[in-house]
Amino acid sequence: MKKDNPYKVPENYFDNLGEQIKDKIKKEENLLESKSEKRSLMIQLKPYMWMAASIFTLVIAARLILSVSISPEYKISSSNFGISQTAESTDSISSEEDAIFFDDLTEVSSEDIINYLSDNDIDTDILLANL
Amino acid sequence: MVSRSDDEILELFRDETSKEEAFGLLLKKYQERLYWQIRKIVISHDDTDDILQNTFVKIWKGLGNFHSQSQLFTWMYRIATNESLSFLKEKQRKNFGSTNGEVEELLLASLESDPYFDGDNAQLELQKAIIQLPEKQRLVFNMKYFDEMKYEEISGILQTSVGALKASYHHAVKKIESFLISREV
Repeated sequence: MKKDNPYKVPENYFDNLGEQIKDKIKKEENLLESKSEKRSLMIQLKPYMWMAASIFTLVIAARLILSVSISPEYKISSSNFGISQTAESTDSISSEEDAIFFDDLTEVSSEDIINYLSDNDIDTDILLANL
Repeated sequence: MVSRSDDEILELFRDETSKEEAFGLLLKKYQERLYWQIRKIVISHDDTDDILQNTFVKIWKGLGNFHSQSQLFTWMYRIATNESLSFLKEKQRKNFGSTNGEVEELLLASLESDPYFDGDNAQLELQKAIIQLPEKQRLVFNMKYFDEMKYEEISGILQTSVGALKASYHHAVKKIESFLISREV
């Protein structure tokens, strides 16, 4: 049995290998750095996100309360002024749909919204531009 | 240039100002040895190139935490060997849908299609005989026969007792002999 190594490498392979490996390491480190920058930006933005989520929840809650309190009056007044049956039923359906929609949204807590925003890879540049 | 000892390289690596220089020295010193360790496991040059690069990335990341309970070269060989075996398992999974598929088949295909195999017919047959060995025997045979490593060194890398390695090598030689006789080389 021959003991010689029958495998070969491309010419000058080992001359360039060191640089290729160093480049690969630099690329990986840059990628890690940009990821950690993004993460730290998200941490900085967290108070603003809390604020935005709270305002959003308040607006939804206010709209829900208003829609619930206004709808009965509207129905009474519409029957008083003799608005057609079709128009009345359409309004009533739309108001029910609104109530279901707002009900669903009010079940979403501020914390859920914060978690959603943190867990999803939202472009922080866009968030900053919209602040 | 005088080659630095592993301890000197480690010392330089721990100093942030000379970290890159130390890694450059480590690359120069070990790139070829690690290349051949990987190449004999995965056969193809292109696969070896990928695995070697990943191996050195892992070495770069882990070297700061390396404490010399084992020798530096043993630690690096272990990373290279593990990376190569993981690569083969992944290749098996991709080709056969599980790690139970015949790795021998994949390695033979690599050997036959590798443009950087330059052996004669007898060397080709020897490589085919090595490929049909079970994983552990193949590793031990290559390290002992081609790299002429001591059993103690192999033991540190494969984390297997010297006695078990001797038995593996013995079985490997017997299997290779009968393979070659059956092929009438």
